Amino acid sequence: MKKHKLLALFLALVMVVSLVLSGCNKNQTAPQGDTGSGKPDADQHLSLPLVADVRTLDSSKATDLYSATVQLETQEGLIRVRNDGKKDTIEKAGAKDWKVSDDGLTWTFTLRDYKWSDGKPVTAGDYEYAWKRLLNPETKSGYAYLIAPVIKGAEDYNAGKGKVEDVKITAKDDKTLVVELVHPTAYFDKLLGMQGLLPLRKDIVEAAGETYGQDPSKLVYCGPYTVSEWTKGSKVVLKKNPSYWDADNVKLATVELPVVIDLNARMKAFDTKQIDAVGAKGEFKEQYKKLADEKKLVWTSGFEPSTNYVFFNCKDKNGIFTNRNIRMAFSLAIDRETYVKNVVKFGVPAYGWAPYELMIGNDQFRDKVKEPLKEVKDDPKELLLKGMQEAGLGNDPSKITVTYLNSSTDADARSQAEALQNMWQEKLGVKVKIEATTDFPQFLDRIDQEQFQVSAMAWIGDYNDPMTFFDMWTIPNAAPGGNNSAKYESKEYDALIDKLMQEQDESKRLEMFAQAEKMLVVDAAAIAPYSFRDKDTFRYPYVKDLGTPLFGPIWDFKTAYTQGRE
Amino acid sequence: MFRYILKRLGYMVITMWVVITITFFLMNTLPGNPIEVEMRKLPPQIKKNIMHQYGFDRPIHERYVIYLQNLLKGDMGESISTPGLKARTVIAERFPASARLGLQSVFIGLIIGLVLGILAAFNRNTWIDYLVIGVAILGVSVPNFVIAALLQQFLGGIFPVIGWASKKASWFAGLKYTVLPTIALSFTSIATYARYMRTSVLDVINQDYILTAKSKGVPAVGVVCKHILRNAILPIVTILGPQIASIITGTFIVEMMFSIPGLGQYYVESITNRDYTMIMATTIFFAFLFIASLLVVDLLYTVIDPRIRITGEKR
Repeated sequence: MKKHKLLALFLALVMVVSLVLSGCNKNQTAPQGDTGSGKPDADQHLSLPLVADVRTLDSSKATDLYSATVQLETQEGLIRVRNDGKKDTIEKAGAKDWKVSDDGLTWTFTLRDYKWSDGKPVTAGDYEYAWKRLLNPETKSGYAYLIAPVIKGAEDYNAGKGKVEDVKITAKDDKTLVVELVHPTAYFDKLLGMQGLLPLRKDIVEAAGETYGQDPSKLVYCGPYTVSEWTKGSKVVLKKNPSYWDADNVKLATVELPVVIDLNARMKAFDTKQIDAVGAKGEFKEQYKKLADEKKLVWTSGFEPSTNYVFFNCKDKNGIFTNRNIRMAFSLAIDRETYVKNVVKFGVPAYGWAPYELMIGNDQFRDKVKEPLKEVKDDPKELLLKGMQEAGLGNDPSKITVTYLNSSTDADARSQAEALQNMWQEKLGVKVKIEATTDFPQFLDRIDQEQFQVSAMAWIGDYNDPMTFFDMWTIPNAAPGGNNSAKYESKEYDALIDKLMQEQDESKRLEMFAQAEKMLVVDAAAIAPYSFRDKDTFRYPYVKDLGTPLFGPIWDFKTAYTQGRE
Repeated sequence: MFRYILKRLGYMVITMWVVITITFFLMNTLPGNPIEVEMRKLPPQIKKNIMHQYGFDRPIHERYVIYLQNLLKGDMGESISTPGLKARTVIAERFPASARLGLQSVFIGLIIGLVLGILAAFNRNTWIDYLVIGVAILGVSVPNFVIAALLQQFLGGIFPVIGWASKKASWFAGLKYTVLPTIALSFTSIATYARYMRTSVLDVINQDYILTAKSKGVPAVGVVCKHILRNAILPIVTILGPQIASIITGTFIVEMMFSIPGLGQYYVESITNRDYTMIMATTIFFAFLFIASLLVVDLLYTVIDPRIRITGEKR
């Protein structure tokens, strides 16, 4: 009784407060632009959320997607990654054209005539400076590793062993940039879209000193927009750059990028039209899909370049996961359909390592290569018994206890760990313990120290080629701090990756990547991929031509506009 | 008085040193390091080089000494996860938002809380009293982020759900952004102050001097303002200082929910990123505010209650 009273009192209070507040707030709705259909609105502005704060506008030092998004929309690199609704495409941007020598080792870029926002022309020297700054060990860039092994002299320089003069990035004249590669890297053009390769003005960088990238007014811009305001932790405001070479195709006058970390706040901000588009998962996705059916929203679905996977410690000190058949048994015992649909609740079941929409040349890798685990029909329990015998562990699975290391203590991670535990215990008859680390840095530390047996993580690719998913599993990466979390060590695999680095022919590369994938998830069963992450974006119907590429910026709004906003 | 303040300042320095030392060593015993978090994908050898450049490969006592030396020079260092960002810049840029939100909510909480507390005490065992107690129980037991979520749900659209005034704007700009978070945060303060005030007013109204005042014919308002409020407010002052300090620094969940560029949100982020310099800088800053607020409260006592004298002063 008392409870009811209190609740009623509280609700009454909320009502009174809301009435009072709504009374004094009638004039708060901002006037909006032209609502006529058929032609773009007079007042062109958009508000798009970022789920984490922008950290820096220094393109050599940014490693996060949010900083990258702002940089890629305000600067113009050699290319621009767009998305045609199905797949990423490469659009020539700062580069008018480029030529590749027959041996595939020399790339010559010709720049178009375009300017920085202070009126000075963008030169090949600006690219040379930026790329060498990225590689400079003093810069401590988190992204230099993508081009260091590719460009001649870059790896040694980046490791602090070589000289900058030996790095083969040369501005032949103001409009010609020549880059020499170590091996014919078939995917080099796909790398060009990353923020680390955007041009930089030496005078501007040096004038700002070590705080370069923190104050937007001290930067110059050569892209579609300029940063007019950056309130750290709150929002970035972009304005159209009138001196941009393709300014005629840029229609938005202002773009606001509010930082909204909290999921519920983000959805509420979308419901109240404080933001014009949002990415949604789970219950919110279902709710918005209904609105999309009623034509109140527009729904775009696609994928992220990302795979969730269980990984086994191939150097397991308990001598359990050192055995391939035991690993495979654990991999096959995951009922991916049920697990992804009922427990993970986003993404689609994965039976291979490379995700959907990832390209090889002009094709999608997954269109050409079947997911290898789909072909495997072995019985997990039989495999386990076989493996146990090979490893000298007897023939009673109930005597085996393995520990699953969970990367966090939050509810989602816990229920996912418990579901895996359940499946393994039921299908294999083994005992599974769950151990959780309190936060991610602690988790990474445990993986580096090889203090785990089995665990799960996600990998996000960096560029649109299978290489970004496969070169991480080599032996050097199994060292502490490397990305080969399964500590999978195979000379045969490393040799295959080496061969792939040399190969230019896309059909041969396709074959070799297919082979590498099979080695990884079937022959060695070092990892058990279980889901490809999908991406669902919802926007109001008045938002037109807004892109969400697989790689590149989170929001691509270079040519976006609004029409019929109320 | 002057000597007393000097002595307290001396204690403050020692306390700060203890806080710095404990935080420094505790933080470094946490597994994981910033390079591993921020630059996960780098090849192991390059990571080692970067660790060396930051000096993370040196023994911890050496790093401690270097840190203290820099601190004495006024250099709190640069963020590791955000290259180019100075610790003092973060505090200068982020603290105003937290401070504004905190002060607004303490102010509103204080006013409403005091009024409610007095009303409840004067109407003891009536429905007004029960209502106030009810609100107080709710306010104390319901976390402010729950209130925040309810406010967003019911009042979002009328007031902005996310956002904050521009950096260059004045202190009072963008009032609409502060409405919901201020209410959410003030709820707890209202409850706390109302509870304290009710109790202490009840204490005071039974005192003889109130009876005397009443019988002298002092009007009710005069009794409340001059006699009751002044005597009953002491416990409030006691909690006010630390409360202000904690609310202007420790509102990270609410800051996150409303996308407010405050320091609390940044503090938590820096811990999960193991951004050592930022953890140290924000901890030092928070500790300073807290200790300073205690000193201010002690000094305030003497102003409000002349009976309290600082030791050593001549009577």
